[in-house]
Amino acid sequence: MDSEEEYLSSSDELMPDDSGDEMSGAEDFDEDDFDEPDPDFGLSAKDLDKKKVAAHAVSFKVFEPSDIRRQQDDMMNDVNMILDMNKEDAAIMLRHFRWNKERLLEDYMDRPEKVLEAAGLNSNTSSLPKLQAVPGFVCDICCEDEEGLETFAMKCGHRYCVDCYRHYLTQKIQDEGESARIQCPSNGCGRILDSRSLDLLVTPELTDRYHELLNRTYVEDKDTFKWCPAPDCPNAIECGVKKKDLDKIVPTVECLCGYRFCFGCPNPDHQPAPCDLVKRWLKKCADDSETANWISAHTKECPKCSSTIEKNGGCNHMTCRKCKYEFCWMCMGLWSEHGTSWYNCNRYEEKSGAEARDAQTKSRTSLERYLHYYNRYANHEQSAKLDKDIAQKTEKKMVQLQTTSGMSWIEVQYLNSASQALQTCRQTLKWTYAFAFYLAKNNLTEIFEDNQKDLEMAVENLSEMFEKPIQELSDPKLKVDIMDKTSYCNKRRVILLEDTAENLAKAKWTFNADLMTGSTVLLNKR
Amino acid sequence: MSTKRISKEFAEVSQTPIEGFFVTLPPNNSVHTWHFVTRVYHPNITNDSLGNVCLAILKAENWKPSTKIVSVLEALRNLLVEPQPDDPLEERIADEYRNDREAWEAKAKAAVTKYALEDPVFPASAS
Repeated sequence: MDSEEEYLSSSDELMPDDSGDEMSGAEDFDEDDFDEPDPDFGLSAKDLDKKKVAAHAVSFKVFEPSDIRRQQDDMMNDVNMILDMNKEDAAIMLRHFRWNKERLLEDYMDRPEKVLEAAGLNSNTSSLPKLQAVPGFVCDICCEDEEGLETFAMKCGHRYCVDCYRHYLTQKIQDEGESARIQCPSNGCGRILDSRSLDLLVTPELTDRYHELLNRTYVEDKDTFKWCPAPDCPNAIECGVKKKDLDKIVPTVECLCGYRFCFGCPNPDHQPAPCDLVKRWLKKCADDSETANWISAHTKECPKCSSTIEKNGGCNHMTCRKCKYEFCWMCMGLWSEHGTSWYNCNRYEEKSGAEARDAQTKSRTSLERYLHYYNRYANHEQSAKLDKDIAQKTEKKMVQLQTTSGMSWIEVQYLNSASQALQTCRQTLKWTYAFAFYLAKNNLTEIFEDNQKDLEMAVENLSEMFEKPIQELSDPKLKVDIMDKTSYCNKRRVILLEDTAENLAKAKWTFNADLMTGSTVLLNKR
Repeated sequence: MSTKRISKEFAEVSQTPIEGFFVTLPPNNSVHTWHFVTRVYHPNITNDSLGNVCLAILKAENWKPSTKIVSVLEALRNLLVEPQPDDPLEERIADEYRNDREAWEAKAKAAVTKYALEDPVFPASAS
């Protein structure tokens, strides 16, 4: 029993490491995926050599809480040395200037008095903050005048009793979540409370909260920083992509915790579709009431015997329980026509012009077209979830299998990478359909759809292997097959993203004018 | 809030009263929330029986523990004298105040005759 628990917990630790190795940045792609470029993908090879960075990857850095604190300390030390002011004041100044050190130094050199005043630091004398008992003192807040009452004042000289100060700070920190801009409690005084004074005044648990909030303002103040949105992840990510470049680049970053998200908008990883399209697509999906109805319909009927079928696995290869008819979940066509050479499921053939002239047909076509893409988009989303479920189940089974058949933990890891690949590729595939929805039909789109088709086919294959019963999974041949397929999927995904990103950067994509009305300007202008 | 502070402020405001105000202590010593008991036709005061008022000094992020009741009263009087239509609680009244001052004045006067001539009734204060 003990050993099983250990295995389970170590699997949790291993998962993020795996994904980290796989996708942690541009350099990895160079080594792993571009040593042998695909023959039909020669167009970007020389660009790659030049830049050494994959076109769809952006450079970014992940910072843990200790890094964030250290960065702040370093900057404070710099300012402290250059301007010869103490660290607390330097911190206040830096926060006032939103951590723009250069601007701080420049402005300070110009007019030190004014800058100090604006940052809440006027009348500078360098002495350590301390509690004092002042004879004859009456606290202006609580009006206590006891002998020996401990009091505190910042350099502005507004003195209050320690209790009132504490009460005020607790209110500000705990209830209002304020940290970097807590002012003196005196009416009309704009002096900012520094962290050393705060440490002196409040209880330790509140100090922790205060420093946490301060850290937070550091990240929030800087445009190039973002928190990792994964639940309970304390890391922040720095990425220099500018807002105006978002139509040319899709800045996907990956935190150390394994969570992949877009740096340009609040959504999870949505490569290859640019942020603007994603926003439009999500809005459309939320708006369209037909879709809402459609979403609820997770079942389809068997094309042969019309039994209602619910898809409960990740793969599109369906076998009707009742009549044993094998068909494709996507197009409902016969499966035997799919698997080998002819897989035409990801394309939507435009209806003929004659049909389109009829207004009614037109609207039906556009809805159909939308549903075609939405269908596939939602399908990959759903399948990713199911793949994940299966992965969790499989993992448990593998642990059992280990104890019975003596396979080692390491020998089981290929399933983790396969599952990871399935998740990432399905995420990409999902967004290729949103992207394709907005694309006008031309040669580039053909290439895109070919890439999409290749990736989709590979993913479905892998998904099917992945779903095999546990006894078959322990077969060494299948293991090799799965490993091969996994790396093939990852490769195809990179190829697709590369191609899309390059054309995006060169503004080569033509978008469907009808669908972009209202904000075509937005895309072209930037 | 401490009783000591309230009595002190009360003593101060009684000794040097501010023009237009007559201050008494509410029995439960509650000075945490502020609202008008009398209905006032004003861009920054809700036009209902609640009489909520939008005043910067009363907002949590601006409130300082050392803020005196006197300053709040003064700020309130300033608000009555000079409405702030750019930061309104009653959008419609603010528009009227900006665009049709005469109509606003007429309605404000009507509100005074209707609501403000009798002695105010303070909730749960029978002093």
